Amino acid sequence: MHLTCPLWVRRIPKIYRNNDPFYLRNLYLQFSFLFRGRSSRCFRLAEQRVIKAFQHMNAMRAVRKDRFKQLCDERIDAACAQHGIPGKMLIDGLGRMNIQLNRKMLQQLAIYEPYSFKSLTDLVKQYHSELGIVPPNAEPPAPVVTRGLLQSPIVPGNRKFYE
Amino acid sequence: MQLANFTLLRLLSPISIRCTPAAVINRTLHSSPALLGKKYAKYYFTPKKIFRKEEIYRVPKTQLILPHERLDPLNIPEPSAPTATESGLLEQLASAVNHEQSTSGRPFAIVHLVGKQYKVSEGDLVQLVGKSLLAELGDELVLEKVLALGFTDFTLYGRPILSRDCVTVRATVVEKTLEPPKIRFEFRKRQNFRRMNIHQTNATVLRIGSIEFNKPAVQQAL
Repeated sequence: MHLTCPLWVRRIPKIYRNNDPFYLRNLYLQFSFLFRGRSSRCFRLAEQRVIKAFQHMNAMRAVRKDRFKQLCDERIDAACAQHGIPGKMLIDGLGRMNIQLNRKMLQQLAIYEPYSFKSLTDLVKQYHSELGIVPPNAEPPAPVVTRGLLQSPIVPGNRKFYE
Repeated sequence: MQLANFTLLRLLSPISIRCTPAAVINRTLHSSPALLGKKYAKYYFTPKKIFRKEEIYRVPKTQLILPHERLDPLNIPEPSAPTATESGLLEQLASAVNHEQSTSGRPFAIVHLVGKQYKVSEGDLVQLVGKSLLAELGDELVLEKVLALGFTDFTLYGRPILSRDCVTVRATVVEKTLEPPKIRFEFRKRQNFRRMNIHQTNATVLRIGSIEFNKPAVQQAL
């Protein structure tokens, strides 16, 4: 069937008027590429599914950060348990000694640098044993050379504790 | 979400998926930018990877040291003399530092850069997201905030930073582009409210060159 040119051609979009609805519908259909069934082919179904997908995307933004943090905590806890320490004790102890390594970095060390991670746990055990806190199931740490500086006020924010 | 990453690739492909004969005719007409409407141009053009204006990283106030918290250099305590066992351990450490050769293993450094920490070794690529450095392509940088250094036999941890005498971590700026685009779509039901924003943040890529370790400075500290 032969149609005249004006019926084949889509209206060229001018600014804010006479836009062919093809362009907006094609936009939604491009987002619905691998969806199931006719939601990937028909605009009236695709529009609903795509909007719901975008809402899921927005909702996951805050959740993704929490989940990554939970993952890091789990891994640090598991690695510390091999040395007899709870994971929170490590993070607290390192903060008090002013070793400011991320959770992200601590889990990388726990996975790929086990000897470095063990030295961190030894530092934390020594710090707490000087204060009289001994975790129950832990082996005594490898000898740590402190020279009296582990508890010392190198942290700027701890000024009020030693003045 | 896997969904979002995949759909973004399809959005930016210049070839449309539903290719009818009418669309082929239209595409030739729409190739001239003069005829295109401003509103939809960005949805069927691939955006050029032009680096947007520089967004400088500013350290947030919570991370700065307030004047009443600064340390007096006179009141910092000196280390006490080591005991017999401790001096033996220090000798072991000093010998390990002496015998360290960069050819044996792959040393790593943990570096603080633009508010984030990266575990870095020679030949790595590091992508800085969002904020950019005021550095141009090919500039060589020295990353000074080194939190930790690792070798085969020993590691060094800084409280919080190792001194600049001990380490130099060199990097070069390799690429300054935009990230793949991210979509922000707001929808409120039954209120006829939907907004779509597509934005691309800056990304600079650094190639780490070498991690140089200064032995006498470390042994002095011991």
